[in-house]
Amino acid sequence: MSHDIHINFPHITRVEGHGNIVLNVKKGRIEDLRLEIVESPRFFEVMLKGRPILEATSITSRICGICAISHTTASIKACEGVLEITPPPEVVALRKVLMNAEILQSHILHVCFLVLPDFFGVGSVIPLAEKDPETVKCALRLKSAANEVSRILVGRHVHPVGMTVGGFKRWPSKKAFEEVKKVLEGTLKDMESIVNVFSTLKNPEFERETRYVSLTAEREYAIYDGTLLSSDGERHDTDDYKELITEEVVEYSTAKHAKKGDECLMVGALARLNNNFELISREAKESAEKLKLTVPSIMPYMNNSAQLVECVHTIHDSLRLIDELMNSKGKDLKTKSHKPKAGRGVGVVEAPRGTLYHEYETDKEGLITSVNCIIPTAQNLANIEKDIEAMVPLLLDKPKEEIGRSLEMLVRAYDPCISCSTHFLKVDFVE
Amino acid sequence: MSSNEITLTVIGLGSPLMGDDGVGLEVAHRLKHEELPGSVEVLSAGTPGIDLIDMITNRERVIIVDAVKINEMNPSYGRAVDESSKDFVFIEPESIRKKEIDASVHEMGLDTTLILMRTLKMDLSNVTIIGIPIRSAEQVRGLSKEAEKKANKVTEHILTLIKEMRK
Repeated sequence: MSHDIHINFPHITRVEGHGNIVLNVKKGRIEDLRLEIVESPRFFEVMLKGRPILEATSITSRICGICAISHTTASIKACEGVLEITPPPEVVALRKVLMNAEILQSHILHVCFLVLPDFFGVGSVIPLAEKDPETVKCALRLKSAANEVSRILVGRHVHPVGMTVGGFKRWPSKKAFEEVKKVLEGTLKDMESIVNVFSTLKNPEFERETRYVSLTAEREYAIYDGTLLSSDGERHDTDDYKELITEEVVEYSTAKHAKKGDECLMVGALARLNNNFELISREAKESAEKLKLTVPSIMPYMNNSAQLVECVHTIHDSLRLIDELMNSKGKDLKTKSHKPKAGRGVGVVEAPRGTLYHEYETDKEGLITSVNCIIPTAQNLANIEKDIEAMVPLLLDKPKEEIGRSLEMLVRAYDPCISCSTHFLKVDFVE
Repeated sequence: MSSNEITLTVIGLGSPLMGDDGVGLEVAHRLKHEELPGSVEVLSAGTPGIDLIDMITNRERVIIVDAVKINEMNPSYGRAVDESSKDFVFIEPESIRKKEIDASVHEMGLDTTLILMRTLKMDLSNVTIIGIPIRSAEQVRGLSKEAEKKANKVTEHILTLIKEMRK
C-alpha cells in the first residue's frame, strides 16, 4: 500500500482547454491538491466596457465556439433587460429550439468523443473509430444534425448571425421549419443507438453530496428561463443571482471559482436533472431508466448519463416547439431598432455545461459601464477539487497510473470548458 | 443555387490571429472577392475542428487550403515540405500520417480530422489539399510579405482551375 503519492498531470486530456491536476499525498494525507487552470485570460469583460450595448452580443458570442448560442442568448437577454424589451412568445420558442440544438451537439461531442474512449480503454476518438466505427459515425451524424438545425434557422451554429436583441434578423420560412423537423426526426434512431451503447457501460462508483444549482420553471424543463434553484432549497430570481453565487480569485488558477457563499456547487446536466427531472419528456425518462440514472444522484460520473438523457429530451422538446412554430401565424417578427438608455440587465440561461450568467449596466448613451459574466465551468471547479479530495483516500491502494486515470475521468465527467472559464479575469486600470 | 449544384468547394483554414497560419483563410478571402461561377462555393472555415467533416462530405470536389510549417510537418504529410518548396505543395489526404493524435476534439486539426475520416472509411477521393509552406505561426495579425505572395499564387492557381472547369 502506498501512502506517498505525487501526481502532476501537466495536461488533462480530452477536455476543452488546458488544465493540470497537482496532487501530493504524504503518509496517506493530502498535502497539496490543485486543479490548475493555465490558459491565458482573454479579458472579455474589460473589452465590453465603453462599447454600445448592442455590440455586446456579437462580441460575447466569441467567448466559446461550442456554446456560442448560449452566450448569444444570455447576452441578448441581458441586453433586453437593459432596454426593457419583452420578446414575443414565438421568438422565445425559436430561441429554445436553438438552445436545444446546441445542448445536443455539445453533449454528443462530450460523451461520444471525449468520454467513450475511456470505456473502450483507448486514448482518443481515432482508435475508438477503429473499435466501434458505427457508434462514432452515429455520433457524427447527431452532431451534424444539431449543427444543421442552427444553420437552417440562424445561418450557422458558431457565432450565429440570425439571433439579435428583440427577435431574429430574418424569421425562418415554413419550409425552413419543415426542414428542421425532418432533420430532428432523422436523429431519433441514432440517439436511441447511442443510449443503447451507454446503457451497457458502467460509470465508476463515487458519491459525494453537494449543492446542485440550475434554473427551474413550473411548466417546463428550464433551459431558457426560470428562477434559480439550489438543491438545498434556496431560490432566487435571476436578477438577484449574486445572492446565490459569489466569485473568488484563486491564486494558482487563471479561472475564478464561483461558489454558493463558502460552499461549492455543481451545475450542468446532472444538476438540472436533479432539480427538474419531473419536467423532462417521457422519452427522456425512459432513457434515464435504461441508463440506470435515478434522481437525485450524487454521483458526479453520472453527469455523462444525464447529458444523454438531456440529448433525448432536447430532440423531443424541439419537435414539439417546431410544431407550435409551424402553426403560428408567421407574422413579421424581424427585430426593430432600439433607443439606447441607462439600465441594468441580467441574462441567465442553461448552457450545455450549466448555468450561464451575463449582466450588463449602461449609461444614458447606451454605453456599457459594467459587465459580469459567470460561466458554468467556473462554478464547477471548486466542486471538482472537493470531489478529488474525497476520492483520493479511496484510491490510495491503486497504482499511481490508475489513480491518475480515475481523477482525469472525474474531471472529464464535468465536461469542463476551460477555455471559457478563463475569459473573465477582472482588471482594474489606474486612471 | 442549392448545395447539390455546387461542383467545387474551396475551404480556407487557419487562424487570422496567428500570423502566417491564416494564409489559407486569406486565399478564401481573396477568392470571395472574385467573380466566381455559381457552381463554386468558398468557405472561410478558420479552425472548424471536427465540423470540417460536414464541409467535406457530400461535395463533388473539395480543395482545402492550409498553412504547412516548413520542416515541422515532416513526416506527417506524404510529400516533404522543406526550404526548397516554392509557393505551395499538393498533399494527398490518404498520405497523411500522424504519430500522436490530438486528444481534444476542440483542437482537432486538419490532419487528425482526415485520419478520423479515413479510419471510418469515409470517402476522401474528392479532396485535394493545397499546403502553403510557412516559417512560423505566431500571435500577430496579418501575413508576412512572403505568405502574401504565396497567397496570391495559390489564388491564381485556383482561379485557373475554375476557368478550366468552365471549358
